[in-house]
Amino acid sequence: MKVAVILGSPRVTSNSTQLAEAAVKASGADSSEVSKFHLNSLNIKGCHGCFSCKTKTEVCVIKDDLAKVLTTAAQADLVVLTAPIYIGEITAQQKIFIDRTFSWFKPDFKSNSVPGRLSPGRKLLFIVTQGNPDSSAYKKNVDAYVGYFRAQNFTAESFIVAGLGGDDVTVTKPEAVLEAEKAVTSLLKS
Amino acid sequence: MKVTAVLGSPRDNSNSTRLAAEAVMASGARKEEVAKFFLDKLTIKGCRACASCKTGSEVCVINDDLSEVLNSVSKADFVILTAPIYIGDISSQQKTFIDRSFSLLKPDFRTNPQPGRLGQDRKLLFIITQRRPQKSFYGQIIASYVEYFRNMGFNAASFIATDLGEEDIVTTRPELLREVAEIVSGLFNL
Repeated sequence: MKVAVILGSPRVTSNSTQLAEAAVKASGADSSEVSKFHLNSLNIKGCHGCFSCKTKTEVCVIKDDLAKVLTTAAQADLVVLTAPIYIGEITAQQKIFIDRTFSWFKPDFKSNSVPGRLSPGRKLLFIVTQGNPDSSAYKKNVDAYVGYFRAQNFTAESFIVAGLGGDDVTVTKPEAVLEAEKAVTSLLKS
Repeated sequence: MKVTAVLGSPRDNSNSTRLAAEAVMASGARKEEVAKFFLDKLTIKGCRACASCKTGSEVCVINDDLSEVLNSVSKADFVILTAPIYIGDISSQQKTFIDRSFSLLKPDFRTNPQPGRLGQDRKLLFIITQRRPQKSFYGQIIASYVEYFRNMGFNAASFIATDLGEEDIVTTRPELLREVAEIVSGLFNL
């Protein structure tokens, strides 16, 4: 099982990254099949709005570090995305990746009943962490992203952990780690 | 009056950029007092959550093209931010700026009644463009950003232009240009 982990937190040992690691472990994937991308360490540009992916090419034309992330994620059986909430929304790093996944849509995505280019049968888990203790605070935003990835042919779910600070969710909220593992195993069974 | 426009659309002649130009004109600022930054053409990194801006440095420590943008914003009387809605939230280019604007908050921002470093008498207009016809669709997201800038000390307003595609709004939707000019007049009591 190929797994692509796309880490939206700039902090290398962040809570969201630790939760992703627990999720990947629970997936049972062989480490040789797991690709991890720490977005903040890469040179990445946002979507140019050029529509080349709708008029000239089947993939995004921007040649930067994100090109490999996009092709790896497009070939993965399980994609794990992570992001903390910064200023009311997912980090810029993860938004850059998500904007560029627009290239996965076909040219006629607005009217096509199957708008996405990627073959079906893949799974995606979006892990979101936040300081705000109210887990419903950003649920609508996160649900919207899950809906988007479902339109991209993924079986997609999200997992929000609220009330986090500091650095070690495995110590402060060990139950969240167990829930991340459960989220992945149930996603893989579905 | 110093005006800084931070443009979040990657498209050269986009609707949001045109609306920003209208807002600049409505402000009456002289050309030499206006600074415009086209984020997609700059080399910019997201916030890396190092907290340097809260533990010793008064400014963001990342040295990239956004440093000049933040510096210009910190000196402006009127800040104009623009972004199209891409996949449910503002473009990644503008989110990158907004995450980095966290450096404009003081170390004790959580408890200080005046948490921003820029004082209380600047103005800010956030111009959003979107394809969907309903203003309320992303209204909560935009209200949350406006609230963030208000907490920072800006007298902040937003303008959501809906139902937009690729058209030239100067000819097809002139009422949008009038509306944005009115909002600017309102902000400055002109």
